[in-house]
Amino acid sequence: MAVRQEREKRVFQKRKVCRYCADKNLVIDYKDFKSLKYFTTERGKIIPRRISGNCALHQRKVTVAIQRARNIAFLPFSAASSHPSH
Amino acid sequence: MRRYETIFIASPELNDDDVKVIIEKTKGLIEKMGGQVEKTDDWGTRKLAYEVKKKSRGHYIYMKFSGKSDLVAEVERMFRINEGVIKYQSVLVEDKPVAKAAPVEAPAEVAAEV
Repeated sequence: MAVRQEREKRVFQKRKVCRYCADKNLVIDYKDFKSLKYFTTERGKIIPRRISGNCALHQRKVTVAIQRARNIAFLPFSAASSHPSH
Repeated sequence: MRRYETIFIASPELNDDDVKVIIEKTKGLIEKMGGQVEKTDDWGTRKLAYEVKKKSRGHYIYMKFSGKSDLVAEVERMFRINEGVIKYQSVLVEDKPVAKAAPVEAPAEVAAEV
């Protein structure tokens, strides 16, 4: 019983709505790298859909936009580690 | 005819006049090959996310134009020859044909600026 309750709880916590579906006025644009930064990790990796909550269509668009922004040096391909020892 | 937007990064060591020369040269080339320049924007010197040709800053120029695909190839060829240009990227503008896009596009661009 306890396990089942926990599982249900997690499902509720994880449910996120796609930002771009919720607000139709938002445009995904590679030039707007500041909002794309929201979908990258500190190291510059693209955050997966299961965590960002984007729908498939918009995640694809975000991915292409990030790749374009990387190409023109708006976003890093990979950021240097914050630990100097590495 | 399709619409494209090109961003190119000029070396930060160039002075403003040199950059202007590149912009004018590009405009001239676009018009000579039957294209139309819609918009030119100078975004100034910005920090790059990573080093390009050993430089950590770059002078960004944005251009929007319409033309055929061989025009884009020619513009890019010119950027490759010009040593003042350290990076460039051309992207097809994903709008529907101009006649249909006009009413749809206007609010979309306002949202992008906010």
